[in-house]
Amino acid sequence: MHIRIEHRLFDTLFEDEYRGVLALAQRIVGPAAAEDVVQDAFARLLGARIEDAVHARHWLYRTVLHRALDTIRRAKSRREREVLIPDPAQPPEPSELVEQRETRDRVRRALARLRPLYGAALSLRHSGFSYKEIALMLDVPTERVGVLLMRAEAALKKEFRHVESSR
Amino acid sequence: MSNHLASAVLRRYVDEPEILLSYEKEHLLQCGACRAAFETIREQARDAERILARDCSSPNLKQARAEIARRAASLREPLETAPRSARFVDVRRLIGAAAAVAVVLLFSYAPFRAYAENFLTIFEPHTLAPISLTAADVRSLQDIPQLREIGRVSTSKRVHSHRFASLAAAERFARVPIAHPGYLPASLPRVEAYLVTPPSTVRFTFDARKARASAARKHLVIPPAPAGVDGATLSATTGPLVVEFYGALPSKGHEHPDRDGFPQNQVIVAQAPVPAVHATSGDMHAVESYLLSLPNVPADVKEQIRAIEDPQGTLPVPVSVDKNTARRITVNGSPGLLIGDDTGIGAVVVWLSHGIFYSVAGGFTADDVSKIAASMGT
Repeated sequence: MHIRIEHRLFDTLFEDEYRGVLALAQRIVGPAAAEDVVQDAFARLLGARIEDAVHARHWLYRTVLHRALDTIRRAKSRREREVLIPDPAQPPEPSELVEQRETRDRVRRALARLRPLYGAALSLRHSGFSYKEIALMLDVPTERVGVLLMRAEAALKKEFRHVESSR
Repeated sequence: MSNHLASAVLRRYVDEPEILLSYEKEHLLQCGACRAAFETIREQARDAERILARDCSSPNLKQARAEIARRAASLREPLETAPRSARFVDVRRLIGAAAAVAVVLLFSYAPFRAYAENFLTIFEPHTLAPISLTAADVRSLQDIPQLREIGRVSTSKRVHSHRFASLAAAERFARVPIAHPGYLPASLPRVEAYLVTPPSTVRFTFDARKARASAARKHLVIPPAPAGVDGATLSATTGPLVVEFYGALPSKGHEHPDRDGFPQNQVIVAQAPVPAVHATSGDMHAVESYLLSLPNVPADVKEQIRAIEDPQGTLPVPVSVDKNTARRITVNGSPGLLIGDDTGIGAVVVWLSHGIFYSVAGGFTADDVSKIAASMGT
């Protein structure tokens, strides 16, 4: 049995998941491209026929993940990927906000230096998905998720240090 | 101590503590090397978590919502305009080979009869009656004079069907809520399409001279129109008609199922308001008699129509009895008919609810098709 994603359920998914999937996409393609990826996925979700609300959440994350990975694959080099990272033009901000944004940008820059699969694994885990769910979305064996996460975490730490030291 | 725990397992244990079996937990407690490895892995996971936590931003949700709505709308633009030939054929063929007579019964005969009973009554069906048609009846009815041969037919405007890929887009175009199944057989491919035909008004005026000329050309004998029939005018407004296709989608321009069978690997749902009928002049008793006296109207069909006790509240539904059987059912409390193929390979459920005529047809068992109809929540 399938349900159709009508406005009520769509609104709930939007409220609950928009930030999460946006974060996922940002960690793979950066903020500017992420909005495009996520908004496109939500637009396709409306009216789609999906088994239930849980599957709808999975569908959303999977769709965003695949579209983000496609985007990053098209940006062939690491340099090109880093170009995707900066936020769009921002209005002037107070100094603490500037500091916050700079930190955020460093994290994103570090994430952009990771293999896309590592970024995706980290983001999915950070979004609360189980190992089985992550395995399904990344199309890898469940047993491999732990290794993937460990390597991704080690790589993130290393890249973050690198970005920090090059300020 | 041998058989240390794999680092992947230890990493998972950080997030999913229930993953370790009791002997593995025991090992972890006892083995210094594994405990040290676990602490390192956990610390690294926490570091990554802390780094990721700094990546927080507050998206403009209102702006995002508006952009999504815009994209959703553009995704669901009409795909195409169906060819003109698909305008009415799909509805007629939904019920099978008896479609031609359905048009006569639904859009001309029944309203006249209703009007004849009470001058001011609008045709308001609230129940259905099967009209059994044999193969011979169907052949005979195909030869009755068409409305264009006995009068003048005009439509309010040229209407075209529009095909959509989503319910939301079809609803926006139709401007009415579209009932859709909450249940579909698991074997059905998960694809769908919608065909919407906007409302239209058909006006028909009897023309005795045209009827005589047409009959002469076909060497038919048409009884002279009695006083009160010539010039009588009827207008019927119906629509929007919505046809939903689930499963194997029709190719463009062929949005009707096989006219002699049930749609295979496909479920077709149709809904349309019952026609609102207005008669402007004429003696409706005379009109009724005249219509039934037309050549090639089978005697048993005349009898069944005359036997309808509440013509102004009954929608006649033709059923091809050579292939199907019909029985009265209720769909969520509304009166309906279940028309089944004797072979058990298909069924149609039709019903009336709150002034809307619904039908579900599919190449599935009668139980399955009934379940689909019930799941529409009408």
